[in-house]
Amino acid sequence: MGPLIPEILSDQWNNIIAILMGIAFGFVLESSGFSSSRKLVGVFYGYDFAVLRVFFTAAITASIGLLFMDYFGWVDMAALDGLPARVWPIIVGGIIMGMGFVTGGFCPGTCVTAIGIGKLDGYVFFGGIILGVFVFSEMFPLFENFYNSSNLGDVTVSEYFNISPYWFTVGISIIAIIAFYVTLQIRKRVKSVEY
Amino acid sequence: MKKRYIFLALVPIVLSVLLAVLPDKSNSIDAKRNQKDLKSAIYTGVTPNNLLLESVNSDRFMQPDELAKVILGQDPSYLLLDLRDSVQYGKFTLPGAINIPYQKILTEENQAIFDSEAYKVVLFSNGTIVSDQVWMVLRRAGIKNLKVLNGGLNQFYQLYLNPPKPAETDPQEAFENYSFRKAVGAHLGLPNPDEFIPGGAAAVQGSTISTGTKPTVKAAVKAAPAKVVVPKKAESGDEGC
Repeated sequence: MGPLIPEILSDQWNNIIAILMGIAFGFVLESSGFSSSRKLVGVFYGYDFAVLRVFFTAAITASIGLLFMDYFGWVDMAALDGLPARVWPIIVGGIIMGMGFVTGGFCPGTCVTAIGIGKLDGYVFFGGIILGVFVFSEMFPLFENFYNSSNLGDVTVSEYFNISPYWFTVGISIIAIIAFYVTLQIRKRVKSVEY
Repeated sequence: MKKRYIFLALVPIVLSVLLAVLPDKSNSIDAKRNQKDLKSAIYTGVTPNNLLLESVNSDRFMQPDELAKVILGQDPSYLLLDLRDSVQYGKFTLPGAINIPYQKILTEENQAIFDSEAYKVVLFSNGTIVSDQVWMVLRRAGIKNLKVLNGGLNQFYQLYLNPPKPAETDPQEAFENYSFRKAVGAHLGLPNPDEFIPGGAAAVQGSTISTGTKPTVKAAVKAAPAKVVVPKKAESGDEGC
């Protein structure tokens, strides 16, 4: 929140805005059906691609929006920092996360949404997250070397390949639209599931 | 339904292409990234806008009374940094202050001082001009946790050697401040201003106290003549604030 319109909104508003955004995020997540684990795992079985669509749309909306705001000088992109790109640890972590996603039927955000509407499996999943965090933290010294390996630093894809971030965003938008179209075709062929 | 999908699909593509062909991106992240030399400045330093905002914010100052409490309490979260030359430093400085003449502030061996986040560095010199300039230079170099002593040593000195006497109608707080300042002055064993500030007697207006302290002030500072009296008075000053 920090870099956004510092002349209008001072830093003291950060927490309030964060709470409002969090409420809005949770509301949208729930109203788009993301508290249902059947809908969430549909992307793995091919009968519902809402997850892919929503997250891909969010990604291109955010990147186009941020680049426009950067262009108008409303937001200081240099002040936004991402996680350092540790290639192999991220790949391994992504696989573990994906396995948890398909078996548990939630991702960390949506399980909280499920708790919000009182789903028991949401509570169980959340307990699992806390347990996993605890186990990971306790065993951290074991993986520490791997965790910090193949670190490329704080780079973006367009920085790493040295291409214009604007044309990169155009490319991502086109890929997103193609993905939407392809998933639509897949869904038509897969037997629809009632849930 | 189908038409709506096509329209929505076109929106991000049109917007992103528009973004790519927009002219004059001199202010954008891409332009900044292409100026390779500036890259480190962008990520470690402070942007001109923020520097301007910070420089007009009074937060960057440390008021003399705050500093007095730090000195009395020997607060380890502040490091006092004297920016004057070593001759002036040798004659008088604040208790616990270290000396880096402002000309040498950016040399490599001095950078370790600014590396730690455990304490704040309070910059001071005779006035505020030099310490303000040093603040600006260090801030541009990306160093945080800096404070400037408001008014510099001159004002600090004046405030504690000859604190402004409150009028009888002033609130209790003003009297407590007054006695606190007197106690601090006594604790610091402030010497005659003639000894260390060029034209000091004129700078410290209406100075009534003239101690016979010699230029070797450090001993006097440590001796702290009124030390027994101080804690009580300082406490009463604390209550008022």
